[in-house]
Amino acid sequence: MAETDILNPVKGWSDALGCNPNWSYGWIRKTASNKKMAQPRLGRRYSRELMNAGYSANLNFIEQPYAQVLRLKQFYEQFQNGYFTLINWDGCGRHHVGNFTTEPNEVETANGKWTIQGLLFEEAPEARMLEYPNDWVKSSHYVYALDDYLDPLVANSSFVANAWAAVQTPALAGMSLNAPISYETLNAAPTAGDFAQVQYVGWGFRLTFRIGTGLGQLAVYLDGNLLITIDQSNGTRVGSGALTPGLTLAAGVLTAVQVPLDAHRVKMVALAVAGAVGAGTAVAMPALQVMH
Amino acid sequence: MGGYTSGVVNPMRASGGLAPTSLLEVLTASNTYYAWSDRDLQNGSAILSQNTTPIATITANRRLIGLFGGEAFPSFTVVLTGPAPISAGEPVTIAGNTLAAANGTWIIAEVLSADSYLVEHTTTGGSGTGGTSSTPGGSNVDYKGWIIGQPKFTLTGTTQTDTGTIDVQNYSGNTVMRDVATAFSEDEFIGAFIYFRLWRSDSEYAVFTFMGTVSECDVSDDRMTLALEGFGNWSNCIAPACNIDATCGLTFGSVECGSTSPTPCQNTYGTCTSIERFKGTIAQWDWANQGASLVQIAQPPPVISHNPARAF
Repeated sequence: MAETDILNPVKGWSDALGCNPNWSYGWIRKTASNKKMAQPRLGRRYSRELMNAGYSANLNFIEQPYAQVLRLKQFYEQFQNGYFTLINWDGCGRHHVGNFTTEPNEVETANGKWTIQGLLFEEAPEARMLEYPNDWVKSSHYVYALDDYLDPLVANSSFVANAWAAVQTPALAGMSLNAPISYETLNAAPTAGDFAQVQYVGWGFRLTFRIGTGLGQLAVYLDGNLLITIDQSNGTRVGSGALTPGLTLAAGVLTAVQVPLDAHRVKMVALAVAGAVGAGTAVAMPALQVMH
Repeated sequence: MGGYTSGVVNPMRASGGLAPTSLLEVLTASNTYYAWSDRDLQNGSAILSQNTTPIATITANRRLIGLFGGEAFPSFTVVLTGPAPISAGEPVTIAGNTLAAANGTWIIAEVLSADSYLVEHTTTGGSGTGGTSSTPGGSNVDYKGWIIGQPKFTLTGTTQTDTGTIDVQNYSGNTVMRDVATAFSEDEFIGAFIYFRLWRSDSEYAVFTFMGTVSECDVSDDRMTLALEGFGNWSNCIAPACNIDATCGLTFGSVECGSTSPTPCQNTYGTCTSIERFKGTIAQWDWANQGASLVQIAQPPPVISHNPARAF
């Protein structure tokens, strides 16, 4: 059951299945329903992600053998309360986990040919995946420190008021932020426990940390669980032992892939400890790259 | 447009009508100040550089409704030297500007001059200078474009209270916290002093103003709805069921009066033999001990005599 059951394990015809388990037409990517929007009559739009729905697809199977019908019915019945894996071979082989939320209604259109139209597949949140989405080039977007109207997107908390600030190209040694918008959330003189956090709806995330001698150590949490402690002075990990599966840190780039679809909260806690290089304890939260 | 000056009317007519902008200012009991609009009005924008002075601060207690709502007086008074809102000004008028000074425990919160939020409430002000006032946000504030939909107001023109509702969106904020929901959790909006203006930018004039308090506050997933009440909330008045007069309304020797004196009174304070139950108003007293005095001072005749047989 669950993610190890794949509706369409192969791209084309399968002799083992006696059919081509892929759909003939239809793949509607629909995640916009997660967002709600409000607009004052003369003002800007405000939006917020309020739900954790994933992709959905309205699938049509045209002129298929009856083995296909039986397979779809089996998956429909078997995973009413669960989920299976569906591979979007046309979409670079991305995996989706979910189930059919409408019943497959077959219509015989010719001798031994059956058509099923409008079969709705909806992705399931909080579901494990065989292969988590990892195409950071095509399927990710950034959550910056500020939005395009320069309103903050990062929530923060500090023992000293206003310790966190959205600053542009802060005067600290090191490379600049790898992002089109050069604002980042910086705590120049943190107290241990100061934190900044971002919430998003999606899968994994990636953080490209700025490295500089003025920067110190910070801990990264995902949904309240400590993932890793990072030394921002040299971009390396603090501590040892096995990392959380799917988590990598290389050259200051932290990548978390094995994260199911949900509303996630990435929290960075300043430790007020200097890094290996330099004596600074400042921490800078970079833009959050989110897998959608 | 009767009552508006030519400086207002002429550009209004010349423009052929322009969609007005809603400007809402909210001052809560904890002195948090909000300025909302249905468009983004940043400090320094054209509309704000004109005659849109924000409301003045009333630092001690903004629950003006408490003044005439029958509540005990807190450490509070507002001295209005300008045209006062009817209800809010009345208790001040009784004592005049010296009320606060007469009672050392009462504090003059702030003297509002006849500018700021009062200026547009009259037909004589408004078109000219907005005046200056002390505001939490400075003389110009950023109106956040959060008002969604069309604010709705009901003006009764009678003693029935004027009401209104305003919706504010509940989506903005950072990815974790919403602005409005956070404000709702951190602050008490019920009782907040609000000042609403419908601003015609063509004539640089607020064609409609509404002052009052927030009577109800509902927050849902998408919006916060503020139910507003005007100041003239007569149903909140708690008044004795008798004439309020310099003379006492009780019958001499009655149970309510309680006097056992053989000499009937003249229903005045000076002739009262049961002063702890005297039910008239006192216009003059000895305040030497900073408290209620038992020294009976013959009350001066009222400046304005009224006929008690006629209610109003």
